[in-house]
Amino acid sequence: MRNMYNAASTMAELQQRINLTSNNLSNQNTHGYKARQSEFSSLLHQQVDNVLDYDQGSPRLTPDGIRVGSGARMGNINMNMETGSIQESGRALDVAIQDDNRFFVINGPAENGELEERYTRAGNFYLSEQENGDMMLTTNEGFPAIGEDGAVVLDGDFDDVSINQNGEVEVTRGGETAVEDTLELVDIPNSRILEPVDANSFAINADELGQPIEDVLADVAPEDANLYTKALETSNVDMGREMTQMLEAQRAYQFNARSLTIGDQMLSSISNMR
Amino acid sequence: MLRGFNTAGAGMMANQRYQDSLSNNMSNALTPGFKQDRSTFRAFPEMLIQNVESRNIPTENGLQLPFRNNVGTINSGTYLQEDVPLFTQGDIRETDLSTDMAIQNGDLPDENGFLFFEVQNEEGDVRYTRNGNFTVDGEGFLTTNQGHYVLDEDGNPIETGTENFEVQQNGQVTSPFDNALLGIAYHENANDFVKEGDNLFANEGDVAVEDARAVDGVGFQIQQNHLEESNVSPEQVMADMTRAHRMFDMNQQVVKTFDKSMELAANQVGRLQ
Repeated sequence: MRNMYNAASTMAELQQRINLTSNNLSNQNTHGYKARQSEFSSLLHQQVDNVLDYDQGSPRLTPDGIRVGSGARMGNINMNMETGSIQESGRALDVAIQDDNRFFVINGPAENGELEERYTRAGNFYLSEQENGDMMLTTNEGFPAIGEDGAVVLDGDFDDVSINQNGEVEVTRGGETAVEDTLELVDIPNSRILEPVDANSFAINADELGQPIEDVLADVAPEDANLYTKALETSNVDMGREMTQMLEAQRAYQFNARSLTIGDQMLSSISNMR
Repeated sequence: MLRGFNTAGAGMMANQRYQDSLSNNMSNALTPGFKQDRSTFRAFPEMLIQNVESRNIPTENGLQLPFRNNVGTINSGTYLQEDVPLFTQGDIRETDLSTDMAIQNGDLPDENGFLFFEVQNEEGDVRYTRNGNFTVDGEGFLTTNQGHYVLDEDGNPIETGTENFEVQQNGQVTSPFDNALLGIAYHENANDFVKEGDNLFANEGDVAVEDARAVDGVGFQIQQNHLEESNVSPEQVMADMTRAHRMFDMNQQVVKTFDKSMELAANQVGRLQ
């Protein structure tokens, strides 16, 4: 009853695909979110020698035996790194990246509880007051954004703060505006090494990379940053495509469920033979 | 023994096999580059039935002569002989991912000729695939979605270093690292190719695979940002599945009918009073 196992394992994979689509749909309004796509791949084919001894040499098109497949599974998940559209927000601490494969460097919680380096396209930054009255620039989850030397920490008594198109943090104190820190930006040409940790931040697993992490990152000089100030990058989820994929996967799920039912009915007719 | 018992049983087994193959087709209705299997049934080899008796010759001694009379031929069932992959071009769909590629067949000189991407399997052997859903691995090499290296014209892996590379219609890859021609294989009889899983095919025929660019009259286009869809048509597979299911049930009914005849023979005709 291979057909039932085929259908059951494929249904589990289709469920994964529907999960992926629904994740894309629910992050349609997440700034800097990149749509994820995955395609199927056929599973192992088993060689069955079904030619009868007394029928050797009968005319046939293919090599001897039959190859019976065992369903399908999802392949690698690829992120579509195309830049989303830029949406003006008017907020001084919002900046959008306009170049493909460019990321802000931020911190995020690692599995061991410490902070590790992460990369994000979401340029909505916030100020968080520290115990000593200093202000730290953070992401919307409260983790530090990385500047020239670690976290961007400003003396608390300023009148105004904004981020310019070079990623420089401009602070106004008593009418004087000065650049006090610069956000770190990196280019990652091979974005397929990025592992998503949440909706819009990514980590690089240095152990599994196969080459030094410095070789895959390229620092971006402030004058080349080309940021769009007071704006945010929207997600690049294509609603139409996602809905189509959802329907497609749903129908495929139903078809496989049908094939499982047929397998069950065939089993039942075997058990009714007596 | 009633021959029909085994005949009907063989029919059930063949339809079960057919159903397995159909359900695999259905499972792969969304697999890019998948080629559906078409099953062929074959009758068991013919047997000659002979009537053996003896006849009395009307003479004084009552001579008996053995007499043989050919009744005719009979087939005693069927089996699923082959699953033949249907090598036809699938529809091409746009995906917007630079690492997705589709082969669009042009003119091919042989009726059963077909084109494939060349990839390398775990053992380092060359395998063939139509699934162009590629990606770039951590070291910057172009791989399939199961991690097999995609090979260039000379059989070497292609290092692109990034997913931002260009592929022209002739298969020329232009990237910051390697600039190479994608390896495109042509085989004059694709029926010699057997499926191995992960969308890979192996050549089991006697004829070697040729470089598609070196064969006269072979035309193709590589479409970047596109994928070739599976050539399974779910509605047809569904219809075939229903039919195979009914054929299975009918054969089961025949087995039951024979069983009833046997019951009569055993319990009514052969009953000892």
